[in-house]
Amino acid sequence: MNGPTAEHVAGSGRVLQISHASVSVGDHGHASNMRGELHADAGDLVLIQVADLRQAELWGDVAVGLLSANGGQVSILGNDLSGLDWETGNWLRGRVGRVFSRGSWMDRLSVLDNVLLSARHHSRRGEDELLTEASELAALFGMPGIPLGMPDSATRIELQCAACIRAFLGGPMLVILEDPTFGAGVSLLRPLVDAIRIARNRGAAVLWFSPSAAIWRDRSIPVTRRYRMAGDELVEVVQR
Amino acid sequence: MTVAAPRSSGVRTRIRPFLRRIGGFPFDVWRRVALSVSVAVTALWRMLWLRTWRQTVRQEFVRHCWQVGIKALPTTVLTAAIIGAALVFQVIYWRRNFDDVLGALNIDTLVVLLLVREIAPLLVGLIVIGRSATVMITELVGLRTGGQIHMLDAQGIDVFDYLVVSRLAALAVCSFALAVLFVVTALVTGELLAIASGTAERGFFEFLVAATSLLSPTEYLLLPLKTLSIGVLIGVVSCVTGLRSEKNRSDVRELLPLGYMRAVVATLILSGAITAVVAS
Repeated sequence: MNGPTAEHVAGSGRVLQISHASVSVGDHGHASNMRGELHADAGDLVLIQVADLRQAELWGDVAVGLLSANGGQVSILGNDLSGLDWETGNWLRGRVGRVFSRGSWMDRLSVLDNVLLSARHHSRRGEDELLTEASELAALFGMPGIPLGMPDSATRIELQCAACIRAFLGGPMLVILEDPTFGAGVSLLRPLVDAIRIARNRGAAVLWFSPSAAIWRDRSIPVTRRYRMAGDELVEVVQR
Repeated sequence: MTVAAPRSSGVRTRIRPFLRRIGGFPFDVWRRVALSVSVAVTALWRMLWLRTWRQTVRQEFVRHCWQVGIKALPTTVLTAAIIGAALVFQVIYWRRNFDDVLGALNIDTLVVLLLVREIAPLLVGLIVIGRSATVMITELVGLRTGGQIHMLDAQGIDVFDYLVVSRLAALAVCSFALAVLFVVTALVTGELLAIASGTAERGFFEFLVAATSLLSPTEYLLLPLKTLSIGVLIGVVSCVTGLRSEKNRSDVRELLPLGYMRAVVATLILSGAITAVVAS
């Protein structure tokens, strides 16, 4: 990886900490104020039930410092995001894998180039090494490889699998999934849980946002912590 | 008891929006110019740093060089050939009708200077605007409204380097390369036409030597200065138009003609300004 090194990744097992954050969002004339706190340790799979994917995108942006919290503190790997310059923030964001709920694909790049874009930007790893890792992840998701065509020629399921492959590529320390099974159904669930298990075993934390009650109830997903949007507040749901 | 509102308040209510609109226009133009200048300066500064040119930015640069330079080759060569032919006929016409008036004035020098100083940079600028700037504006508006810029930001990819610096560099380099090609094509076409029509005063290679000797160091400096500046300017206008969020103007059908006209006007002003500075 380029950019800052040791001190920025050093820290405890806490990967993400959002403390007493309050976020104001104005969208098409409707202003809403959301608040809450959340934390994810190394090896955690945090399931967050949201009312809609706009909320997932918002909390995802807060977690990576794209959206500033009015109050409270947000830190990744022990680094307070408010105190970081833009370049260091970009470097940290490069270590976060994410499945986006919208605007996932650059139309003029092939699906493969889209998948490798962040890895190529942030690392000096060779092309062969990146392709090998991408192919292994593709095999994990039951694909013969990453589609070489443009995004508009790929099917919905292929794109969703490719989005998951992109999120796990390069060994990110934090993975943010905004409704990763949307449009792909249960066919993606098993391989996704396997990919999450591998990521957790190497110390990554995973945030899984979903508006689906079925995902919330699915006991086959090895969730370690649960959160839910209660009105405008993100609250932890204690498991019994 | 009712009190009649003073008549002047009604007039004020009508006048205020009118005055606000009149006053807002120069402020808006000033803000846009200031933004464009800051984008240009920042992009030029960042171009100098090696760390800006990451693999992804280099790939974007090459992709835009293909889009701006290679794809515009046929149009540039064709336009240059037409201009070369037109200039030869102009020379024949001037010599036939105004030879006694022109006297000691060297028409060959005049034509070559006009071609290198004004015609080539301007026409290449217009070709680049029509052929590539419009495509860039469409692309950037699509990225902004489609959420892809958010996606790039969230992956820690510097949007300024990836989208703006790569485009500005490609436009500058390709504008210069196309202008050189334009000048050479126009001169060669013109001379070949003159030889074919029997009006040439010397052989082809003699002409090439003479043409290069007609250019002073100023012309050799002016061509890259103008074309590189025009390339950067077109890039800045395209990026600011495509990426800047404007109220009620997110539709590409509105932004495209707006960006086109801004780029044309800005190119004409810059070309004229550089000529004026060099001439004075």
